[in-house]
Amino acid sequence: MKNILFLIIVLFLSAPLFAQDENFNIFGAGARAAGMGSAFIGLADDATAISWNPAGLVQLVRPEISVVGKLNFAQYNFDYPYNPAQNTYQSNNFANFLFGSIVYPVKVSDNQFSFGVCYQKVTDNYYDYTFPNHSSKRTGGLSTLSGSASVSLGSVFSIGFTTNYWLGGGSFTYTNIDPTQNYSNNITKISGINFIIGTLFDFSSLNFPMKLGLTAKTPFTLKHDYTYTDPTEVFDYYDNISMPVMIGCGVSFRVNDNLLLAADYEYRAWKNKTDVLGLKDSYSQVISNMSDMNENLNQFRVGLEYSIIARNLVIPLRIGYRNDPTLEASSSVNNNVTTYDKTEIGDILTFGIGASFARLSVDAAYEYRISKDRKRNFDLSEYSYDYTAKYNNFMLSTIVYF
Amino acid sequence: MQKEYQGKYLFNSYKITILFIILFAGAGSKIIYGQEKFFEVYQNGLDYLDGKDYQSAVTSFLKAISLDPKESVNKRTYGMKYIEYVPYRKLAIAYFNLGEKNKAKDNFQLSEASIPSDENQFYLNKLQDVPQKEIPVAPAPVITQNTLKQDKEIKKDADNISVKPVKVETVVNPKKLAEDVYLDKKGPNIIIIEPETKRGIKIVTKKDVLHISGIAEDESGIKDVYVNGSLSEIDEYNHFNSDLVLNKGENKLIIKAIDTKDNVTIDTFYITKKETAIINAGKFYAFIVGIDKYSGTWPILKNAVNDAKCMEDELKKEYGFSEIKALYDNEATRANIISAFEDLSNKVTADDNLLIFYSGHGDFKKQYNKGFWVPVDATSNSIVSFISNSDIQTFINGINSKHILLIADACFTGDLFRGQTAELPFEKSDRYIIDSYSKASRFAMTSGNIQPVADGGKDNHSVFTYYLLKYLKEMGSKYFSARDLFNNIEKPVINNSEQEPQYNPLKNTGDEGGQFIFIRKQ
Repeated sequence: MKNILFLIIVLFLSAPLFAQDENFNIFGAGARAAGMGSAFIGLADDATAISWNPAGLVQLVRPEISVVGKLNFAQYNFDYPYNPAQNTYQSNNFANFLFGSIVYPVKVSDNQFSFGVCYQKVTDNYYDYTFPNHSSKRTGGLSTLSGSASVSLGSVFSIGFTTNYWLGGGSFTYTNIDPTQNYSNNITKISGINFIIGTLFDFSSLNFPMKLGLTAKTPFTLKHDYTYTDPTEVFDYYDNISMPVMIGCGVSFRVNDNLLLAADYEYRAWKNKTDVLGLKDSYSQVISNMSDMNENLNQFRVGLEYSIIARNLVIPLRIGYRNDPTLEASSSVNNNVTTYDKTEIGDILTFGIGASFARLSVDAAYEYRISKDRKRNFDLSEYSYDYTAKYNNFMLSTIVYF
Repeated sequence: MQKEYQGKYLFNSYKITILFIILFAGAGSKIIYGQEKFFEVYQNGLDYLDGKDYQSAVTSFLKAISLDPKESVNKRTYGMKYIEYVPYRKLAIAYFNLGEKNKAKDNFQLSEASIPSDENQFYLNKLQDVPQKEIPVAPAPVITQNTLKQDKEIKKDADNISVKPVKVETVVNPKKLAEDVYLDKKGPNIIIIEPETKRGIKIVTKKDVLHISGIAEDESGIKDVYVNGSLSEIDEYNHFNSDLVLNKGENKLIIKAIDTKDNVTIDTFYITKKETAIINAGKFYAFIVGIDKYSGTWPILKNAVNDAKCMEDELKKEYGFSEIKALYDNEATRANIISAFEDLSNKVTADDNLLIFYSGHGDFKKQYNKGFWVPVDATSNSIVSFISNSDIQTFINGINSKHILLIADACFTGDLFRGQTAELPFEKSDRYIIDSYSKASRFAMTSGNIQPVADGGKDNHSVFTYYLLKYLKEMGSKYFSARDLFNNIEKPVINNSEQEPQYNPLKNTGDEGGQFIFIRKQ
């Protein structure tokens, strides 16, 4: 019996990862960064730097608090070429508290120290699909609680460390018109620890207005514990995801008081990183690659910020672009063998605006993502479908300066 | 299988850790250091200002200005944090609270010129109500490399010290130039904060110490600062302090700053410590009589009036005699002379000094055993119109002055002395000046003894007055006594005439053994 259930689990977890964040394109938070295409490793000059590049925290002279909220707008199209009656359009809109941080800088002798803590919602699993005969709903996600420390060694170089404690929860509920097919998965525990090591070279103190940031996120195992429930069975299982090392570098260049340019590159070593699924009371495991194409992913992010400086107000305008490589690829299934042909890479355009006052800075960003069509072909059967998703996020940040 | 992957994670972690250790070590060795950020220094200044530590606030704001002098109501610092950056205004407030009103005013005006504000106006209005006691000041000199500064004197104290930045030399270390990627060719900038220009009067004596304070700055960081060859301690803001013991006259101050690239800037200053007031003298009066145009039995003289006028001129211009009563020729009647003595007896106080110069005929009557001045209205040998030396002594006795020196270039004036009082042994020292001034004196210096003296001499002067004027002009020091003056002229007069000049106390006029002290204007 358990082998059958196990198959269900595998099928469930092999299903398309609809939620955008599940591609683990993990980076920092903040509407200012988002407006600039999330090119922020080489800038990292506000309280969100804990999540981007902790070395940047030493740039803060006064304590800061930052709060970031996010509105998510997602549209999904499921097109069934051989069964058009099944075509479905889905839309999910939801809000979440994305990020909050407190940073406290301390100067000791020639060295600037900064300490900070933050909470970040790294992924949000939410979706709610309704089909003619069934519905699927997922909630919860991954979060981190982080502590950060950084120090300047001279006025050019700084180094910082962030420790991330991974946590979270959530559930998945499948509801069918046939109640015997209903089931649910509840996340009972998420755990994992990793580190972000960041460095920043700030050449502006040498009268060259450029900053260079380097970051490394250490690999670790992200553990999920689940409880499965259906009308006849209840059992526990685990899902261990091998999170890869992620190396990032970023550069920012301040052209003048008004114009700032930034670019990031981040490398995520997904190749040979596995997803290990197993029953709690069994040695049985199913291991699959996290990346459909079993390849490493590269992300590029660029952005600019132009500030209109008025007497008592500064209005920054931002624009940016980033690609959005995913772990998924287009595929086809023949005789129960899945063949992948191309990794899905999305394009995201970003726009931002803000208002900065003496003690407060408010920023907003809009991210417009176009996912490339992804085809899932099941032997040209009625289950074959094309899937298109569009994600639009609206982010709002507030930074309070003390 | 999972263990195999975990092993790889571990291996990656080691590699990353080693990478960061290398980076950390590189930074720790201080290869890369730059200058402080203006807003950090400015913020420090604001904190000092809040804490009422105005002196430290001044230092911080000066430093902030040196890093970024441009004021702005919305100046970017980091992130999206913009600040109102008004270092001149804040510096002015710090100066205001330190009581340095002129500096405060200057900086408020600078700030107002760039960013007008109610705060500037408020303080400027307040400052208009404050009497300005300080001298105007130039900003602290910012010395740049290879710059020969304009020969602009920076007054330290109104009277006593002047600081003259003379030359700045920069030496670039050629070896460093070749090996460095970031070519820091500049020597450090040296900013002198003290001595400043508006501290009011400061009495500086031989043992006085001048506090030297400043900031050395360089994009590569400062390694050492030397003040006159001695290594000076520098704080986190590269602020150096040193005490300089000043000698009289010109003192050389050499500040040498070396940056971490071994580029050197040398600033040379000359600090002049002028001689200071060693005595607190009252007013100086002079009563001058010169008569050429005699009539009757008294022959006309050629040089008496010229001698007297030159004496008046010398005393007025070089010695600061503030009130001079002069009677020449027809003005110098017996009545006028006596009247002038009466006026002096009413006017001169116990703190004042009086010099009387008489140049005219003198006479000696054997039957009275007395010498006499001959006023212009005396036309015969009768003593009716004369003024006896004893009368002169009487008049002098009636003048309540600290010191009186009577200089008489006339015949038979040696009769004025008829006795000796104790006199301090002459020496060339400040102590002699101070002691001599502290005791009252009533001396007379005469061109001859009880004998005729020559009217003719050199350059339209009598021999006596010629040398008197000569040494009044040539006495080298600021302070000298009448004894010192006499010692200088005695021999030249004897050697160049038949006269024997005399210098002795006036009998029965209140002499206590002091000396009339001449104080030359600077």
